[in-house]
Amino acid sequence: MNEIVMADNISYTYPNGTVAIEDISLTICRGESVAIVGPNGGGKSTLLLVLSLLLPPDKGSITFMNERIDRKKFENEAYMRKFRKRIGIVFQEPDVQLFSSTVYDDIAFAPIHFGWNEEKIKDKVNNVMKELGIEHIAERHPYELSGGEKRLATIASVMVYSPDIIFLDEPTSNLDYESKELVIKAINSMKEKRKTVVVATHDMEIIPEIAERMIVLNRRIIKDDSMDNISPEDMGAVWGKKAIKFFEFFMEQRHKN
Amino acid sequence: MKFISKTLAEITSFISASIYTEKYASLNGLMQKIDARAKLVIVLAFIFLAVYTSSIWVLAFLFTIAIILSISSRISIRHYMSRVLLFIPLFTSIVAIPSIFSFITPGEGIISFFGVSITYEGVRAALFLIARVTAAVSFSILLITTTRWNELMNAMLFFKIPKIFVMIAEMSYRYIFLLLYSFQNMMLSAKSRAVSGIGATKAWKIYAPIMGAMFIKTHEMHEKVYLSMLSRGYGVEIKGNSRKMRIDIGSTAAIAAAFLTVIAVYMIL
Ligand SMILES: Nc1ncnc2c1ncn2[C@@H]1O[C@H](COP(=O)(O)OP(=O)(O)OP(=O)(O)O)[C@@H](O)[C@H]1O
Ligand SMILES: [Mg+2]
Repeated sequence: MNEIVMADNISYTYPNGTVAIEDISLTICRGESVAIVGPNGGGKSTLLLVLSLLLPPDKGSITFMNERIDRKKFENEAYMRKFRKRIGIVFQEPDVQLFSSTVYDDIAFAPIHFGWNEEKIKDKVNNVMKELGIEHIAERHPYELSGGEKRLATIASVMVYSPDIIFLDEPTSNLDYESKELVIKAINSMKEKRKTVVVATHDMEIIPEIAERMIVLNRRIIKDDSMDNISPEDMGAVWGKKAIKFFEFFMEQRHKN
Repeated sequence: MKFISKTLAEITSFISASIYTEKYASLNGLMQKIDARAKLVIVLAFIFLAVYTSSIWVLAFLFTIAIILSISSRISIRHYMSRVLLFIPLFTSIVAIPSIFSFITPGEGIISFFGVSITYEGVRAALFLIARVTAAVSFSILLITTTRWNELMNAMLFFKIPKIFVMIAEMSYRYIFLLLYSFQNMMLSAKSRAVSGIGATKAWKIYAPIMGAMFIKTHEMHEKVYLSMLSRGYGVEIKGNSRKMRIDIGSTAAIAAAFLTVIAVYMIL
């Protein structure tokens, strides 16, 4: 197996004492597509931040591309930079991710900081905007955009540098059906390029379309299995009876495809 | 209270629109053609002159140059003046207001109330100060308007301005942004939940905690912004699109012209 990221018994506690995740062990391999689900406050966003090497776990250890990342490395940003190009993360709140004065500049932010030449930057930025259908807002100010437009812009700003592994936190929140299709398509095209995709989501509709494996998280891992082994009852355990019917319906769709 | 919330909203959107537009930086005008490092030197030379001169004519002359430069850089005069006007009171009032009173600048009283009189000399000094600030501010705004933020940061790094200052500048630039933005939204959310037509005391009770909450909220968001910048390669070195070391002939000529002007003006007036 070709592991890309491994977590060994990690925990993360926020400075105010909230234990967001606890004793998490998991391995994600190259080319895998994983959905992380769980109730509000279940620690999904925190787990994504830790796995993307932005927050250091306070217990346990993380191994990224066969290299154990200890605290000393975590604190040495110059050292960590070599991982940054390989990892992409789309935050849950678009506002924290859009900080340039135009959408174009924001998408170009990573390529500029990774030192690409101008030609390549232009090319890639335009491509990804086309792929996500946001060319028309290139020169707009990010804070003037609609919720969905912001969402698409943040996804573009990460996909633009095609990282080996991409973490998406609620990528389809705020999106209409058309934009949702575009995002699903973009995710699937990343998968075709053997990229690893990890999605935290409440959107049961998209899970069967993008994920092969599901992790149910409620501070600890409740279940971690291939989609085929996830039963509607597992979903019910997390979200109650209503979810069972809903999930059955979407799994049927998946088997039809 | 409606008035206050309305004007605050207008002010925030005006500030954010005028600080954060890079629209003019990509135009094909005179200042945009000059290398950011050269521009930094030129603008500093003019500001230096504005700060040290004691002649009102030099200040008038400098202001004229700034306007001519902004016109030849294709900045709309309305946009330019509105930004200059936005920053003048900000800088001036802090320094100038106290000096118009008699106990600070003694002289012939114009009006007096409660034993404090506004003096002729005081007003003169204040007006002179305003002229000084106007000249300095017009050049700073010229620089900021015609230069991409990235290039400005690189220019600062080039002159060995410590990285930590540049990073602070960079982060505060984002921070003001976030602050304004969340302020606007929180005002709206308060408005949606508050009864309209309430008295000032009651309104204060609503708006004061908003201010506090806003700082906490933006602080929290700000940490995430930083993480999101880190994840996209920000940090060790700021990189811009043009990272050439050599300065082109045009920019060198511009520096020379600016220095000659500064020296000539200083000698003649
Ligand atoms: N910055 C923070 N400071 C303190 N506690 C936090 C912070 N961020 C999150 N938490 C807490 O950590 C726990 C996990 O939060 P997290 O955001 O990871 O959950 P989540 O699964 O992403 O939730 P949601 O589905 O609502 O997005 C929650 O109890 C939350 O209150
Ligand atoms: Mg979350």
